[in-house]
Amino acid sequence: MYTMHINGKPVSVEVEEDTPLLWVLRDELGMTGTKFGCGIAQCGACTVHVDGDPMRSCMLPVSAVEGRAITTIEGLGGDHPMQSAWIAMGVPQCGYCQSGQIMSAAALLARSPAPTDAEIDQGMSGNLCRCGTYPRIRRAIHQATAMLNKEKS
Amino acid sequence: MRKEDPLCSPGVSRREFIAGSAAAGLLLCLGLNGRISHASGAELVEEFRYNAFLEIGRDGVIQITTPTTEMGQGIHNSLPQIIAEELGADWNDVQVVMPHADPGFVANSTGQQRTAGSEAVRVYYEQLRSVGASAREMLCSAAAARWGVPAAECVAAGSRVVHTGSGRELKFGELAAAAAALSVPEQPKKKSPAQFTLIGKHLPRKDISDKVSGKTVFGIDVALPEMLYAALRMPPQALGKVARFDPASVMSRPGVHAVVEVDGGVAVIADRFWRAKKSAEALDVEFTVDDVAGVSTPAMRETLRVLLDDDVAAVPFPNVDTQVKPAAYRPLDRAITDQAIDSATQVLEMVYEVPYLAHLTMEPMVCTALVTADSCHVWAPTQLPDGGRELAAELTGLPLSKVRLDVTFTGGGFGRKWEVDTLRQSVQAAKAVPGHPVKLIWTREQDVQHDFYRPGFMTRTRVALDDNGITGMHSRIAGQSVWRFQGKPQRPDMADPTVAALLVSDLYDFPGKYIDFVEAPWLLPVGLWRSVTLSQNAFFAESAIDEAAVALGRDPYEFRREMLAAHPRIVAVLDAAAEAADWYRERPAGRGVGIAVSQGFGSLCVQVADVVVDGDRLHIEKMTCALDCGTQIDPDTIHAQLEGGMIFGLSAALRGEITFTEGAVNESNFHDQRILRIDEMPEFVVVLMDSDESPGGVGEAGVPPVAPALANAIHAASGRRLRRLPLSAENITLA
Repeated sequence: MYTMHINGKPVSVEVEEDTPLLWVLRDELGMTGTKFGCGIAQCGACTVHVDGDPMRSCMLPVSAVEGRAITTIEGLGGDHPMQSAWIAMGVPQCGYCQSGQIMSAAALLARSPAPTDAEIDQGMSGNLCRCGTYPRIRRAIHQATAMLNKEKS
Repeated sequence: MRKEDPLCSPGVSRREFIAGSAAAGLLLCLGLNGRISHASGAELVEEFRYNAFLEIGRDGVIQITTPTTEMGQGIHNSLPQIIAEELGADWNDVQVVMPHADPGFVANSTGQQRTAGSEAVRVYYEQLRSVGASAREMLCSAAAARWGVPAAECVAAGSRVVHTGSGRELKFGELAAAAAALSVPEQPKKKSPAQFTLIGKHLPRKDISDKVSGKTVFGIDVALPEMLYAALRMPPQALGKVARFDPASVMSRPGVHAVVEVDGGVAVIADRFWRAKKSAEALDVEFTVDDVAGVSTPAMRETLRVLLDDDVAAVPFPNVDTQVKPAAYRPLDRAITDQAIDSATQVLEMVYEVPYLAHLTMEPMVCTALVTADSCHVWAPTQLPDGGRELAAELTGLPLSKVRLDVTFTGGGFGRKWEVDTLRQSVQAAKAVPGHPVKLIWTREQDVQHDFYRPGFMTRTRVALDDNGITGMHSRIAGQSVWRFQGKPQRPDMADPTVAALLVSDLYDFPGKYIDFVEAPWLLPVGLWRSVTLSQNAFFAESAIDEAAVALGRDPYEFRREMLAAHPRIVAVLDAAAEAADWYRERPAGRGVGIAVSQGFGSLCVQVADVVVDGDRLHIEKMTCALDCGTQIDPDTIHAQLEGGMIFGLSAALRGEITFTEGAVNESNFHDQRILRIDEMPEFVVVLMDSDESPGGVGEAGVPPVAPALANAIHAASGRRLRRLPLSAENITLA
């Protein structure tokens, strides 16, 4: 039995200890927003936040996240600045990688309120998109941070 | 109750489901099965509603089924947008429903319900306009009757019918029941482009809110009561087969329900995917050495080179005249080309090469199937719903009427999900556990190593030149035939068009053109890859044209322009691209521009690459793309497709390569098939040409010119001519 806090709620699951967090989310908890893309932490489709840090849930055994706070795409609420910017910029094409992209972007925003292009490169280069939405992702991140900083000032 | 509901409750029969809808009130249903039809009575509604493109409820909700598969190309909006335009709908009232496989959704011109060839808008355009226009006329007639005025005085806009004389108006929902009782117009009058208010505009996307919230149900997200998961154990070789396996070796592992042989491997069915996957890895199984043992990339490349020799028999490819319908095939005259080569002042001979390529959709291959004693239900992210449904019927022995296939959102297709191999496996697995839906998921390694690859090719091109330009071109291509692998009949007088078509561009105005093909003797699994023929042949053809320009000391843009003078539409695209790329700007040493043209999928695309080369280090400053796709449905979608198409093309041109050792694929995941990342992006400029011509395809149009524009730019920048892809094989890396 493993207990975690997922999107603010305590959750317990009974699974083998090597079960990746990805499959706990998807198959045990029915939270399918987090995607399976490669299984070896190379594509970022499975990105979630663990204690605020972006992590690849496909290689993260459930035993390693016991007691930790996990945020998934479902936990962003739908009106996170990144989600709004993603809609405004028309980012997704097929959309499959976008949960992971948005989770990485949200983590980037938490670390850096106005990321430079170099910081975007660094924070987002672990997330692959086969449709080629990268230019719009960059624009959306800039738009989200611009909106937030405008609201603050 | 709306039509997507059965996706979540497969136990609900169609009869029960329709009863619910009939109780909701009278409906205007326009089915489409070769012709537009509708029904008004509750008893008749069932069949019509089941395959309705358009339904207007009394509540004013306009439900439109998109007949093709949304896999990133934007048809979830584009096709409903066409109906909404003709209907006079307020886009806010429109709900879009995913399709299921049904003859009612086939395109009249193809006879299939398929998502391929960048054709969705092209083949459905007139059909969907007719649906919308018919419904509009019925609503106007219903309003006219209510008001006692001529229907010609009524117009539809914003989901209302307005009487122009009096200003009276009625909402579509208020008219739906009365309209449903009218007959469908034989010849509905479509709008003129000048009357368009939705086509040509960017409309809010119906799929986007879910896609940024993780709510979209892709194939891998299908969740059903009693569902089990299947993982595969597949042979190391591309076409290996199961020799023997011992189910007992894993049956006692936690959660395992069944172990069953399926085409291409063994499926382990368990209560969770992770358990299924681990058990599949632990399974005691042996595979046979297959027909492609001994097929290795270095030897394949040597063979292709030999096949290009003059003394090898080759199959010609004819000239295809697509200006007439059906397209006319005329044999190319080899004598003219040979004579041009014999009498040329200069003959260039080049050998070009491209590798095998994987599709690498972000969503791995997946399919869910439920088989019971008398029914089969499939949930598939597929580009071929009707073919998939027929296959499920064949595998279960059920009549087609007992097989339902729902299309899910699809995490990338690019031609890979045209294949029904995973669908076949999921139905085979589901037959072993009747009553349980089985969701079969491939791993990424299986996706990379068991794809239907774009074949590798080698091409020898001879270009005859005189002082004024090209007088003849003979290109011979060697490689696998996709049609052969797909089992399509081969004609002795026509090479496989998926290999040979457009190897020498039919746009350019020079006399001697000859194409022939020599088929490679191995049968690795090959298929269609985004832009198909043009994915290799645009590179071969546009590199050769560039080399001719260089040999003659001509500017490559002007050289092309001169040979395209008879095609003003293309010249306009060419000029637009050159202008946007600032073609004539002075560039410092080490920097250069390259241009490439392609015509395909009913569209014209020209790209310019602007690069800096320093030794083996390549920096791509900018990719400029101009496109004439005729009438644009949503310019924002087109822009996204072109940008994405260029990135797809760049990944392939720079690093895409699948290699084989003894029939097994060497690469396995994204660490060794490294598609481009966000930190490797050049600047992109997209120019869309205004046009009222029929709509052309967009999804594939942006891919073909990428590689030749890039190689031509590298030559312009450095003097180095690269004739082999990927560029990484020539040691080029991104700076």
